[in-house]
Amino acid sequence: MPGDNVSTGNTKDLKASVQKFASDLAANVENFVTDISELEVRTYTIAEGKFAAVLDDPKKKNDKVITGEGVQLRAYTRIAFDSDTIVCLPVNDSGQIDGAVWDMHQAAVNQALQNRATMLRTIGDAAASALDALKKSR
Amino acid sequence: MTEEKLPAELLKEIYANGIDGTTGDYSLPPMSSAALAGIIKGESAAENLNELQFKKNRPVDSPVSEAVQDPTDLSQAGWAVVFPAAMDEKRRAAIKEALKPLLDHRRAKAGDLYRVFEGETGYQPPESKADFCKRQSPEIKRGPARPEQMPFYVLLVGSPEEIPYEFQFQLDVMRGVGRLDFANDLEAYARYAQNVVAAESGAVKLPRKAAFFSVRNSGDDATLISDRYLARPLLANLQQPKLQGEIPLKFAWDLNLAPSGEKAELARLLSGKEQTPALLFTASHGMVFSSMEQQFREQGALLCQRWSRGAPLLRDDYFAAEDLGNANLMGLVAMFFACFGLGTPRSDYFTHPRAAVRTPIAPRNFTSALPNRMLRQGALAVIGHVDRAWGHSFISPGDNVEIEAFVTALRKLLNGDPIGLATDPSFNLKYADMTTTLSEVLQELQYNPGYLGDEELVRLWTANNDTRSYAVLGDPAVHIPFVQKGAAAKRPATPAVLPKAVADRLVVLQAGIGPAPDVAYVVKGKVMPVDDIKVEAQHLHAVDHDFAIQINDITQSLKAFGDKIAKAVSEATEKIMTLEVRTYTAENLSAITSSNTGNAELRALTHVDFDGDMRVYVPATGAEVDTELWEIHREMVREAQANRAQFLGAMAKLASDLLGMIKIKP
Amino acid sequence: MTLIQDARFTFSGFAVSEEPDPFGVWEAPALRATSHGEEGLMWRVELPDADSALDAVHARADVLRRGADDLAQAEAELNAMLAGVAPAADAEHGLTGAVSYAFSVPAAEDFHPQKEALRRTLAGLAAVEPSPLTGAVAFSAVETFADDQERKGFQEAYRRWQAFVEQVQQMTAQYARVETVIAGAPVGLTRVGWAGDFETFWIPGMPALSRETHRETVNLALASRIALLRVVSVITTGAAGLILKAVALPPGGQVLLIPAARRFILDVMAVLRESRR
Repeated sequence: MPGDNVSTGNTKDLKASVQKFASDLAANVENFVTDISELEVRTYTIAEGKFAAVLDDPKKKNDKVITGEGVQLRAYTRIAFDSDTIVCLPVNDSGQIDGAVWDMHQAAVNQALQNRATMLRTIGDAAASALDALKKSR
Repeated sequence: MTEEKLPAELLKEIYANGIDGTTGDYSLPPMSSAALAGIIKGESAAENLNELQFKKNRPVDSPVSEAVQDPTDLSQAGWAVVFPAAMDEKRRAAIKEALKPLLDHRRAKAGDLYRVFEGETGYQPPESKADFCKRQSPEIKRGPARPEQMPFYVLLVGSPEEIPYEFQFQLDVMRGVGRLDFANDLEAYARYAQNVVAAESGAVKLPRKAAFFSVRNSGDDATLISDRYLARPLLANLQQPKLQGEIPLKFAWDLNLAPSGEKAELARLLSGKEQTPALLFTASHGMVFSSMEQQFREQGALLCQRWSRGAPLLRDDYFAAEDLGNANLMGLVAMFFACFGLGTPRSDYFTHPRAAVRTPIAPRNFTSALPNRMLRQGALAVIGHVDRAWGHSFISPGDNVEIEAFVTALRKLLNGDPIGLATDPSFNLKYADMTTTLSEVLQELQYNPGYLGDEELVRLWTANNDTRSYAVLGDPAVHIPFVQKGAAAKRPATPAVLPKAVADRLVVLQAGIGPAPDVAYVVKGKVMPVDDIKVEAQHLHAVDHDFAIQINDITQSLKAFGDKIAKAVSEATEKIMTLEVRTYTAENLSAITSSNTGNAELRALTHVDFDGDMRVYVPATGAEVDTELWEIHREMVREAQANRAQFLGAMAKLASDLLGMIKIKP
Repeated sequence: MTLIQDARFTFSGFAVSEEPDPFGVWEAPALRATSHGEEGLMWRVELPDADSALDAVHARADVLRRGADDLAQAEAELNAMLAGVAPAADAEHGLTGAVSYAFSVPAAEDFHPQKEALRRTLAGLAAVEPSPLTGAVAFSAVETFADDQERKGFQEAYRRWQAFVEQVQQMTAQYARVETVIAGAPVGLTRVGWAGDFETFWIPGMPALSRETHRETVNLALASRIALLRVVSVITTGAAGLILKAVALPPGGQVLLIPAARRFILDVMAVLRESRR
């Protein structure tokens, strides 16, 4: 009816929707901020011919780490927040360092470090906005 | 209960000392250290970094050249007044005539080192301090003040629109700078001039009493911090005249903490009666408003103890200019720790460094009404903050209180030093130290992200921000006119009147230049809280139905928008935890649809978790790795990471803005 | 295979508003089939030749960057205008007297058609006066707008706002596909999940320059999506600012300020963009 305060009921729903978004985002962001004590980078190889089969296996869809026949962890780097670093190098069958895999792994490590720095900055914005949204919604 | 937290707890969220008079809540919401640290790391270096580095590296903490033996002596340190170059000649002449007693007094003291910068030699915006000095003489270089080139004490006459705050801050690094901003009010200039001369000629000798007024608002961490870690330790320090490592007090002072932070107590201290001290230090929130008229009238007003977090804000909760009444504050020197206590910049200093423009927070740069009115009513100078004051600039995670700048400034003031000199080795040196350190740290962080923790970085940044923005309203050469040994204390019982000849002359001059431009506003209607709005039955027939439907539809569309965003996020919360980047090769892209990859061959896969952990899957071909493909894949990973971060930020901002939009009640 | 003369930047596959891209980067042709014969959310860049392809994409990226600056400037102008408007004093604050509406009188050099349009809208919405007898506020469109033309203008503005929000919502909450076509031949296709997962399909043996061009196209498409979110943010924030200043609006009338804010923001951006031509 014209004259009814039509906005009141609707804005409550809208408020709830946006609150949920902000709350979910804030929770994710908070997890991020508290969980950056370590950075891990893993490089796996998957046997030729099995690559797509393993990675697209619907049973493994929700696995954080994909495992299975032919999947081999080849290189691993862990960097703690105080910069202590553990590195596991890839070696081939003759015991020598597999340069190609190592190069790819190192590139990934550098990328992960850069990404974390970027995310820290931008997640700071997201955190501030999400928290701001939640405060406004009180 | 927020009473007994450790500093580490308090440092988790960062507070600025400002309360929004419209919402009754913090004007800047508390922010986590990590978020603020992220912003800080994006900041660029200070413009006058070179001079700040020079100041920091000087072995002695005197801002004047070593040839000056006594910087309190104007005949050695010099004194200057700077007018805006664009100031109308007639107006300038009128103001100079009103200030004549002060100008003559300073000329007599400074002798050859008295300078007036006006007209072509006056300040020309938007020049920096370096540009201004170079224009006067190419020999004026950065470094300690050489009074023969540019006097140490510099009084700026004009509003911060005419002579910007940034110039005042820059000039203040190596000099003692103050400002008078009475617009066109010639009587105010004349009274001030007369009061300073009276104070320095022995007509005013105040009892050596200093008062500390510290507010502690219930439920509010910011004032808990300023009370516990600034005001009380400061007082405790000053109550020990001879303390190792500190400047010894030459005189015995009666130093007291006000019994409460109530407004009535502050009113007593600023009543001009016997409770009014010679030096007043306050620590509280400063009021923040969004209405232009209210900003000019009350921004920076001191919020007193009655307000508690979450309670509605009342006018009686804060002390503003009009609460001074006719108090005679002759000889008073005050220092406010409060947001906007001294003034407000047009644009927020605390804007994201990557923003294209700074957020406007006021229609123009202006000085706060309260300190201005204090100067009109006999106070000689007020030291305060332009922009927000941060409560975290003086405590560290190890519970170390670092109030050295305040201690040094107040000890010097209590010893009778001029204000411009008292604040120099304290705030200016700290500012120089902080800025250069911060600059070095930020550079190091670019190469070594673990170099400094977020909390330390935030502390450094807030201290830097805080110390830069202290400024003096008043002549920087004034000092507290307290009674020294053997003399009797006297404060004039009533405000001094201007001699009739002077008053008459001012009337003529004022007519010639007109009143100061003021803010014109129109009072229109009555305040109606939203919920009380009803529709009169007799008007219903005139309602345009389409119009009503439009209101409904707009709200619905906003709701749908919000719903979609919320649904997309909540359904895929797990998805947001991992970013997946795949690279395929395909002979024919046309077979690829939204849900089908056709005959494309998966060649590389990278998973990136929300916290940055990464898993890379490559085919074990046994042959040479396709480096070109890997290069492409890595580029796409980088693209995806960048996009994810920006998208999240944009969504979060949108959520915040949407909620702000639907918050109907002001 | 249709060859084109000039670079074309289009998005399609969803309902578009009349001003689909306030940044002037993308066009939205009438709904047409994509190169894959299906409809879907598609950002598509068609470039005439490989040599000039990357430059063409970079040039569009510059347009977006300048558009972002325009948006920031429009936002600043709106905020500056808001700063000149005194809000209603909240009765909860115990303030006596009344300050309801105020506009600082603009100097001649401040005159600005967009500001005038916004000012009239605000003035119109604020013209509703409480009844002297009951204190209730009459809600009447007749009193709100100066004339019929103005009311119709406002109705149009709200309709465009709705269409715009709908468009942005579709663009952001769906899977997007970004395709680069050079000299009529597709060189790369990327599917982007709403949360940013990427799947990129390449044709083996493509020259590095073509791959680089597609990567830049993806970057541009996603940056445009984020920029549109920002436009919505700026408009809603601007409207919120207007709402805080407004008093005695009709029930729910606050939302009417959104189209006004949108019009203001988009007009200022368009003026700035025009001035560079």
